Amino acid sequence: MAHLSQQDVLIACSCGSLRPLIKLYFCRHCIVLRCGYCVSQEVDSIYCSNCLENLASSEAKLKKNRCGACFDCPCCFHTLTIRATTISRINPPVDGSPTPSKTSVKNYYLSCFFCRWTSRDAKIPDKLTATSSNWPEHENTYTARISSLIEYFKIITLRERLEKENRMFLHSSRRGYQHFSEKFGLTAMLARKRAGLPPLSLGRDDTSTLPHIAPSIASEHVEPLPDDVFTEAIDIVKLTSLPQRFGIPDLQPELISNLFPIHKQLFIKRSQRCRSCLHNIFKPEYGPASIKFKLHLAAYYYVPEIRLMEKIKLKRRQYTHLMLKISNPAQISTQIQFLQFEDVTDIVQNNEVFNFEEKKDDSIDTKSITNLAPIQKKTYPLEKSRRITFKTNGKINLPDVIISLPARDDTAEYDEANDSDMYQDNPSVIVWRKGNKVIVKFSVIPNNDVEDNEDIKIGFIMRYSYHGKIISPLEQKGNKDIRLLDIKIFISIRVCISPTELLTSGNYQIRTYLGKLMS
Amino acid sequence: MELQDMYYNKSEYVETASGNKVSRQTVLCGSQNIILVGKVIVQSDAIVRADLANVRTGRYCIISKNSVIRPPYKKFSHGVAFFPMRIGDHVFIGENSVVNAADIGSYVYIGKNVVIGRRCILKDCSMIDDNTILPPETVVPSFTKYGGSPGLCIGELPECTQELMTDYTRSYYQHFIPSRN
Repeated sequence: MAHLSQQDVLIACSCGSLRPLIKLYFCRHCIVLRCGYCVSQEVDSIYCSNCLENLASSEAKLKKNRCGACFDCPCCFHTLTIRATTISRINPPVDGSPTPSKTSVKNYYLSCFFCRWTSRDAKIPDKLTATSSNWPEHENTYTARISSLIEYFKIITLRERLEKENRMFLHSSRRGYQHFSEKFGLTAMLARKRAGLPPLSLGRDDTSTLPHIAPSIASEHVEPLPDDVFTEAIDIVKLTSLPQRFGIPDLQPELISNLFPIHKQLFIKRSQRCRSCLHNIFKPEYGPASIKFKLHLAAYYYVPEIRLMEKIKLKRRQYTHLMLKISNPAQISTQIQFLQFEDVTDIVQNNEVFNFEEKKDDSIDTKSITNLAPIQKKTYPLEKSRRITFKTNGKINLPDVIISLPARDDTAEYDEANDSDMYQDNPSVIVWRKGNKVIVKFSVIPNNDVEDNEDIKIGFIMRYSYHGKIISPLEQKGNKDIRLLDIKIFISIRVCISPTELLTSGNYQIRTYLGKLMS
Repeated sequence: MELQDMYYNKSEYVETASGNKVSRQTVLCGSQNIILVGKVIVQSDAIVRADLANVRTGRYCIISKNSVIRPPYKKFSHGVAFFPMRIGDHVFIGENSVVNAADIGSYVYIGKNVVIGRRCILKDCSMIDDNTILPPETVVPSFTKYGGSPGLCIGELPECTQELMTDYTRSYYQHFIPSRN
């Protein structure tokens, strides 16, 4: 599983957060890395994870983001299944026949296959049809109160928005036709229609239309404890746990017998958008079962991937070889070179912590989509750049070579030919080469003050050439839009100095002895 | 971390023309009902109960040691019926796992010590964590990670899961090599 999560090689996103390559995106328009923090996540489609049915967002909103047909068990939160039982019913004798007739009727109830909870435990009567809908719902006693409050606050929001827009129009020069729409109350009408409210009169004195709501009144009266609370022993088996209570927030039952089936929470499919250039980065296909994407800009397809080849055992005050496998996932060949942090000017090495900060304005900047209608205008706050705090405790020696990696070719796997003859590689640096993959030899030395069994952490910069435009293989010689991109790589080597090696170092024993005394 | 070489005893494994590597130490019941499309590894002490119903796997599937593949059944009023089991491409099934699913999509990772109840449906690009119990008739949607007992959604998978699983099962097959002696 570690192979899939890839936690040992981290890459710094443009905002400063450290992520493995598989969780990064690559904006082709800004030509920078983006992570989950610095893209805007948009809900693309809403579906039920059990019946895999797509719902429109308005329908999902109406159903409070829960599926109408599927239920979760209120005890263990597994999905409930409809089960059938046959009940034979004895009919009274008709037309003078001596024997009563028997008919078998199928009854359906909800059952959990994990904890064996059934809807009969909640005293829900069995149904005669197998349809998954129309199970009895428990009614919240405060529904009317909540809906009246929602209605009241919807009107208040609308009024505030109107006032704001009015103020904006007063200050701005009245050009175009937009003030006409405001004059005739079109914006307000649209906004009301969107909020699902009945249309208002065009008059502006709508203070009278505010519905009256009764304010809540605090009461000093607290229900006394039942008489048997100190005398009766508590039966823990019959009491609900906290997760079970919070599963039904409006009821919060204390007893297992009062639990009620929970409508299944809906899942979403998301698309990602770059907050800086507002282009889509990821766009999934609509169907819930589809794993394809209309747009697919993961860093995994654009940035050369670095992987540790094997576990290594480091020695104190001694360089150890570290093999890294580098592969080019792009459809165009690239050239890679490695640099220390000191070589690049915008990175300041402060003792052991890299206090790296992008040269950006710290204040949160906002951008808006301008090509949409004014009523749908959206603003995206840009992510504030963070400081990379990755404490390195080792040093890596980087080979001073430029490695050229060919484009990814899926047929290369079946090609037995040795590619290393085609490239003039230094065998002391490049150990192996096949297709778009090479194994490069580095050397690592841990710092002198590294503790026993501490992970060794190193960092460097990978500079690679990126072709901005997707060009056909025939045009490849043209080399039109090539940029050099710097990617900050941070590697944790989990297997580190063996204890026997530590003992050989001079003052280690004294230091650990002192450490033990201090603790 | 790149996968390390895994060595097997050449005399223990049978390699077919389509590249399947099947251990002789497995229990393959009803072998005429098993279809391994190609480059599938079935490791020692795995049990495949194809005598109950057909079992069909896609390419690059890995069935690890001590795992049990058993087609699911459903009870009817007149008895029990077994349903065929379909496993997609690039699927990894971990050690000591019992799989009773009706349908396993492609690019699915099933961890160690997992029990997958009967008639579960695992959609493409899903992952079951180690030590998970998935109760019968669970549906695991795409790009989700299920774990715990009972198995619930505990996380989501990156969008490039398809490539990750393809790469993982391919490199597993490439590193699963006969020992030299």
